[in-house]
Amino acid sequence: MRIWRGETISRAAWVAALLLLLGLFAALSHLSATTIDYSRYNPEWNGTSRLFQLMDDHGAIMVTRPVDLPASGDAILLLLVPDGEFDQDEISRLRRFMGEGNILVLVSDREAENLLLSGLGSGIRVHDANLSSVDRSYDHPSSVLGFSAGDDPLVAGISRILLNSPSYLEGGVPVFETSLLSWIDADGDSRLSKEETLQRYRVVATEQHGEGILYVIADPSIFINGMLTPRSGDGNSVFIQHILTAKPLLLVEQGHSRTASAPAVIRVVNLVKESTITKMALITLIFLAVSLFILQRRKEP
Amino acid sequence: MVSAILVLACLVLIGMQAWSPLLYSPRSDARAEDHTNPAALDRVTGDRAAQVLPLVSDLLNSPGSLVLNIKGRDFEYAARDLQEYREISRNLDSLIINLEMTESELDEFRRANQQNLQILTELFNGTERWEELQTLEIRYRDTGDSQMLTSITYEGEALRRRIQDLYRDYLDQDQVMLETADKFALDTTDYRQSVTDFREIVQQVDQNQEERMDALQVPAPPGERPYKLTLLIENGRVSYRENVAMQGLLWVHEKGRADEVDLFIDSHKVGTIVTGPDGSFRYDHLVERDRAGTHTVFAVYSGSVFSEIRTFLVETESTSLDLEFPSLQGGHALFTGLLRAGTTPVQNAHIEILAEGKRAATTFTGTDGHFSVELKLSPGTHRAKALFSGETYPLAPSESVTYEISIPDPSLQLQSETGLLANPLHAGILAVSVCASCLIAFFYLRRRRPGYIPPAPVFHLPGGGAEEGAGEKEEGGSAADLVPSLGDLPIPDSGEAGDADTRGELYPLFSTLRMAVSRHLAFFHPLSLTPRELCTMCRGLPIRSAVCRFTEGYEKARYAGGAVSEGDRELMVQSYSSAIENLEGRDH
Repeated sequence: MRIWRGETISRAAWVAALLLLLGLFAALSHLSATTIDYSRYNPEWNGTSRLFQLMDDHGAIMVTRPVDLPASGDAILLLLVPDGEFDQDEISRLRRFMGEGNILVLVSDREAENLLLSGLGSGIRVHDANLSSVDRSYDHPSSVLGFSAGDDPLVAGISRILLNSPSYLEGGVPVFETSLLSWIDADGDSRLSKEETLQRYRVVATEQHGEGILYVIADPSIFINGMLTPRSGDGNSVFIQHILTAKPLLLVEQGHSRTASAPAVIRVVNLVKESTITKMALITLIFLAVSLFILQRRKEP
Repeated sequence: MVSAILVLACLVLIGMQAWSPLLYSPRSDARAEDHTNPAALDRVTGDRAAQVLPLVSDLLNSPGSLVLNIKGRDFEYAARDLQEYREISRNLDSLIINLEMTESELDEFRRANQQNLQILTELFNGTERWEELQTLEIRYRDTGDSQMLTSITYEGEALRRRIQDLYRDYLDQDQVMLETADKFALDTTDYRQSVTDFREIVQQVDQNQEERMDALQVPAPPGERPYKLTLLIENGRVSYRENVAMQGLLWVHEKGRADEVDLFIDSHKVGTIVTGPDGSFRYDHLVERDRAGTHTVFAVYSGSVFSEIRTFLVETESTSLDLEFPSLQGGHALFTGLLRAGTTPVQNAHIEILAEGKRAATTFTGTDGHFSVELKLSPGTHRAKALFSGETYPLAPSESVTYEISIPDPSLQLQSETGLLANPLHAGILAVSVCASCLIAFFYLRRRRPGYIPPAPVFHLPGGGAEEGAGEKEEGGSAADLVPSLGDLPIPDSGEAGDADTRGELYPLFSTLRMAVSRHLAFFHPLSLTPRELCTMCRGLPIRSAVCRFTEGYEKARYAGGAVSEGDRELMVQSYSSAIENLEGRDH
């Protein structure tokens, strides 16, 4: 028995209250995270929470509409795993953004992005295929190694990066490409068959657009949490650092990107966090609820 | 009831995890739509192209030095080159199997290279023998031994044909070798030079042999035959399991006498044939293990009379290898199949069973072309096929279709077939658990059974004898012993003090009655019963009215604080006695 404000409360009630509190904490923890692929709110291996933490450390600015893109030529825009189609206005704004001397990094393994690439006037095309290689870091054919090609500033000091189920690219100037012992596993049997030929495949390519530069990375998986663990020999971390520091201003697209995917609870929290009016409204509501509670208690004999 | 459900729910939840206690591991969450969890995978050596490509380059370069040394008749260096070439080829074989590239174009390169290795080994042996023949020719020419010169010339002819065949085979590998080199952007200068050098070796051998043949040809005198022993081949182009019919005539034969003629194929004696009375002879050679290509034949009578050299061509025939779906017995798979060249079964052929590209078993075909072999495979899924390499046969290699075989895990199989009891250990654990549970439950219930009701609170009977009664109660084991007799019931004095005493002394009666009723109804917690609950519990019992009457009076006396009249007390005692008598019997 405990005495609280002159009333006795049984031990069972205390335990129940504690359990309720724990349950509430667990429920909140559960609701504040997600397991959606590529989501920045996903702290699991397939999320991008660590990348966004890294980008936050670099002072990244989230951009939801291309109209918000700055006109200065000192920015790099990271367009990670876009979903849905870009309208003509968005494409022309992105094109203008590049034309002003900025860098656009498109990270996608879907052929759907070829429309965007075509709209941007790029000759690079994404081919969604099951790219496999004998040269790998893990015992899985899709754990493909990409070797640096050319002398692009992004590959400085990197001999190879580790990819994870990448697609391949056509066109542009190669930045990273697979070794000769790579193939498209068309029959999906994880092994090299008679009909599957060995050749080099481009996985990161670049193209000059006026003063600006377009990079296309055919494997968004290199940015997931599970791939950001430093490993000996693989230059993934350095490559990402090079991207984040390529220009003084780091912009991250969040209007189309799948990294912005979040469950409803997180969206509500974000809405509150991002808007002063909603913050004020919430605080008012809380005060109101507390006042009502106190008044109710006083009325009771 | 609720507690029981919760306990059951907990047990079910624990039971669900009991078979697989690991709640999470990276392997259980290894794959998402777009990627694989690296934490769930084993690390391997990274840049394997760095191993393969130099090896392919070495294999392209090796023939250059080897053929050059053969051309220069430097057999010591050539032997060393050949040994190195063999070792590098072996390394590539292992690497391709390890990299699971047994169906790749790189494997085609490997096979072409294997052919080249075989060709160059034969070229090495052939040219070495050719050099020996050159030395012997000089020696016999000096001694004027025409028979030995003829023998050398004939063997030289067989060698020439063989070397020509080898060159043709070497050219056949060109396409694969050079295409692979182009694809991997490797230098092919040495390989191309080896082809040129090989051609020059063939030309040298050709020229020498022509000179030797010219030297051997002695024009026959007019009216005489150039050969005293003639030989003809009926069918010059044959394939596997076909006969080469050879017939000839010994012109120096004495009529009516049987003579013996030796027959040589590729300078190897294949038999001695007895001629007929007219000197004719015939021999049918069955093509089985003869290599594809040109073969030379000649006959010799009495070691000095030679026939002319004849040739026949063995053509390569394609084969088909039919493999039935392996039948599974436990962890063993039985492979059966049939190897045919056209419609002809291939006899005594070497068959390999490959599992995951690696040789897992070998066997030989029977006379009917059928083969059968049993193979033990580890649990899991395997891709297996049969392979006929065609070596030593004039037959093209062939392979069967690939089957995917699933070998079940014996332990899982045992469980799925007969459940838990299939495993004696599991059955034992289960039996012990059940027995232990039963025993624990039995003792627990026995301990909690209301057979023994703890002694009622001590109350003092008026008129003494309380200590004796208490002593009896302590010794006694039943509730009946605790019930006071009617004569000993308390009769309190009148007044306030008397009321208080009455109320205090009524409690033991209530307590005793409560114990007796609880015992009768097998209720485990008698002390928790209030007077009203006691009354309610007796619903449906014949003692209900007596018990309720007593508890009603008791309530009034105990809680209302009112005085108990003589009449009420009498009524309560009667009710109590009636109830106790009914419950325990009149004797008590």
